[in-house]
Amino acid sequence: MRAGDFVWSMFPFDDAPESPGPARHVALVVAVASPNALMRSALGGRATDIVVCLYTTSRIGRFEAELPVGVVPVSLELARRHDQQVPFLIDTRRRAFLPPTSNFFPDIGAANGGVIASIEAQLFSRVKEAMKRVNDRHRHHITNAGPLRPRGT
Amino acid sequence: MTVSIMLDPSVYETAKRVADKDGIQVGELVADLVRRHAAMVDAFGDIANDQVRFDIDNYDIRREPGESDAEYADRVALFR
Repeated sequence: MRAGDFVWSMFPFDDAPESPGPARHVALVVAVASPNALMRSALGGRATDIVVCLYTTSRIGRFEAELPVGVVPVSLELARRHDQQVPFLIDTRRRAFLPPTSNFFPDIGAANGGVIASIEAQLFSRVKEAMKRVNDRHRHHITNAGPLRPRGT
Repeated sequence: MTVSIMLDPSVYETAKRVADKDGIQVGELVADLVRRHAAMVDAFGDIANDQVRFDIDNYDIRREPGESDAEYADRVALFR
């Protein structure tokens, strides 16, 4: 699993942000983070990576005519190039910080690690630009989920 | 918000000396110490629970194959 992969996840819902969500959901990995040397030494053998994911949804009609800042639309044609059969949205405002475990990534033990497809470079650039825009100007719209989300969020 | 705190004169003297050295006010020094101590207490609490929450100061973002220096720096900046 690496940045730019679409993966099957149990993306946590807002009402239980610490726990795996109730249904399989496609998420986009934007980073895999490993404890730095200081943390590794403090944690010993218990150091755990964190997978940072974005929420995606195929409910493309959920927003009014204009998409909110931070939501990136993926057309049917582009979706098909990513092994998905319907257009979908990538919501860069909705983020999860998850351990790479099977309760959050149900297919992590499979040969492909639960990876559905890797994102095309141009689309990934759009996603990163949208994340930056949200970080810079709409930070209050960010929701972080997952047991390893930053403290206080 | 402004509050007053009681400091032992010898502690104040030490704080004033250190703050003067850093070119800051004693209040700024105290605020910085409180913030840093709180972060340390939180981090040790996480370690005790075997779950260290994401903080860009404690984690390295893994660099992906083929990612240029500029692309990597931009991606890391997204988590600051």
